Amino acid sequence: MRILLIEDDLMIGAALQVALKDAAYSIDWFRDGRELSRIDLSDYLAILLDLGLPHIDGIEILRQIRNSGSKIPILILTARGSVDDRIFGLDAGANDYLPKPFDVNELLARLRVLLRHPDFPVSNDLSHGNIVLSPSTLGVRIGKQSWQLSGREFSLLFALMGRPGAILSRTQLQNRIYSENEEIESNAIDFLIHGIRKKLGSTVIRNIRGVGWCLNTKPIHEDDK
Amino acid sequence: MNLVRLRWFYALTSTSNGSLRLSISRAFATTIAIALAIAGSASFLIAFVEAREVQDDSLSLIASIAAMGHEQLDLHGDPSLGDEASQVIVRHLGPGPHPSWVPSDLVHGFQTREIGESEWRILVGSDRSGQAFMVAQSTGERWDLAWDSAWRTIMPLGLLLPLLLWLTHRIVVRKTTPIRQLAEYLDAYGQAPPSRLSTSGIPSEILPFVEAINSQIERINRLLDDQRRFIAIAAHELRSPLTALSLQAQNVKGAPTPEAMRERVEPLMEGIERSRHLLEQLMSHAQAQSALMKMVEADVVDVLRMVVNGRIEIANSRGIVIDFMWGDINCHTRNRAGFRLIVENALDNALRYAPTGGTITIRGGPCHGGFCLEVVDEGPGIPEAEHSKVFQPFYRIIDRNDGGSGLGLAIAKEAANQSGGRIILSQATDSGGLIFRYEEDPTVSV
Repeated sequence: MRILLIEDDLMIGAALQVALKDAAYSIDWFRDGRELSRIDLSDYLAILLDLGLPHIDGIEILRQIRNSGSKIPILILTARGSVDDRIFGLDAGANDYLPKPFDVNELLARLRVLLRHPDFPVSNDLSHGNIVLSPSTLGVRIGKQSWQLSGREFSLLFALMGRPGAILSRTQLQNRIYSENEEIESNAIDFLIHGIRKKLGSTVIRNIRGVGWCLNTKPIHEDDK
Repeated sequence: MNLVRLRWFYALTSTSNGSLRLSISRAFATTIAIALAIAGSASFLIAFVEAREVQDDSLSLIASIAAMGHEQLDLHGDPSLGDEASQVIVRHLGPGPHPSWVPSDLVHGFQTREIGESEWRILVGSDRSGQAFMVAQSTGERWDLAWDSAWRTIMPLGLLLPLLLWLTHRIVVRKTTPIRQLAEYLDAYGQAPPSRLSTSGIPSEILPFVEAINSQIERINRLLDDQRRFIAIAAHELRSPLTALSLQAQNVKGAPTPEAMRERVEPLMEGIERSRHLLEQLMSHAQAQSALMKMVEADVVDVLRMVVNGRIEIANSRGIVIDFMWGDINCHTRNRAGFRLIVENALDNALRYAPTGGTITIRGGPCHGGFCLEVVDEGPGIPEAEHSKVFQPFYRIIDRNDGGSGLGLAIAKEAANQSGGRIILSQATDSGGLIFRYEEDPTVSV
């Protein structure tokens, strides 16, 4: 669950990094929008965007992203809190608008809304077959049984859930789980998948040799565990 | 209805002190009364003297006719018939009995005597036979003439007085109506700052006053605008530290382990420090802006020493040397608090930007009768294009996220303005750092 943060205030940026990491997100943080063009936005689940930025104003960044055709959810976090500002930001293509100062729990809740599956826009939970993921608790449920996952494990399952049935390569998974500057062990993904299989059963994630991993499309029965 | 009509009269007779109407009316009334008295008396006197001369002349004429022997002129008049102005009595004063009213002590020539209840003018002469006779006429006519003349003189003026008072009232009321309307307009404004007062219909004598009020209103509105803008920006600026604080506090609360919690307290403390600094700077800015800052004279070096002493530890911790160069001539600033704010912010900026192990030079001395002070650092300096902008509150140079409040130079400038000094920024030729120069003119002694 990788998030792009564009914020020029050092303290806010650092504190947001900690808070989001606690909620199992990994963060890439940029101080302004100048390097945005070299980034592949498809690796990110959402963008948290400040407006009062040096060099390029946040609204301009927002427009650039939308003009590039990206539909990535964008949440504006800004000190410009007037009603007019909010309307302007939402009309410019933002999905949500949170004026500073905000409560971090509200930010996380709004983020969960943005990450809802387009087919189930009223529930934070993501489901595929009988697997249900709850981002608010980092829990996973299969049938009547539920487990608590670590942030990374949840993040990996979440990535596979994003497009059920699709096969994600090791690099794709890494890009969706880890932030840019994190050092990743070569077997980190195998380690996470091993952990998940140990908890949920070995049939949850299928390995397609040489290509990558996908969620098991066959319904999983409790007996399989 | 009657009351309304008589209002001007009440206004005239009321004792209110500063009434324009009353003052003018009183001045008119007094002037006219004095003029009436003078004109009336003069006219009376002149008429009286003339009437007397005319009477004497006519008595002389009658006497000369009587002297020619026209005895029939003896009209045997009797003063008891009254003092009708027309009545002239000619009577021989030969031997024999005379009526009782004829005074016994008459002498030759003119004389004025009481006869009965009235006053008579009497001329005693003698005819060709040497017989004495008298010609007498009541003086009543003289008085009547004099009174008539005086009355005719003062009558028109006296009639003019109420007319003038009424006109004064009307003019004053009409000319002060726009002023009264302005007052009502100002009164009705309440909380909102008033806009310019209309000058239409305002008498030219009062126009400068209204214009002065207008320029004052504009000045106050400008000041209010500045303040409002500053408060809006300040409120906006407070959001960032508050957001950081709230996030940092929630991070501490949500720390998974005691160790993580300890780690997360550090940024929280920094966040608190940043908020404290911003609030302090906001207070300083308000203080520097306030015209009420107490002007207390102080020795420049004393203030410098105090400010530097408070920052030695920070400088030491970063290996920065503060070089202090000041001649042995005592200089005085006229605004101790303001000068302190200037030095504090100059030095804090220098400390923020000076490279570790660098040198900050504080130098100065008397110049142009006042004194000047320079704080020179070896930091990146401020590009010349930014020199005018950095004094604006909350202006920050892009890519220098130094954690400063963005108020330091604005505070210094406000304080300099209050102290009658000025700040000049320039670049040090050797290190490229910033030279912060403050000049204060000598105190003007009256």
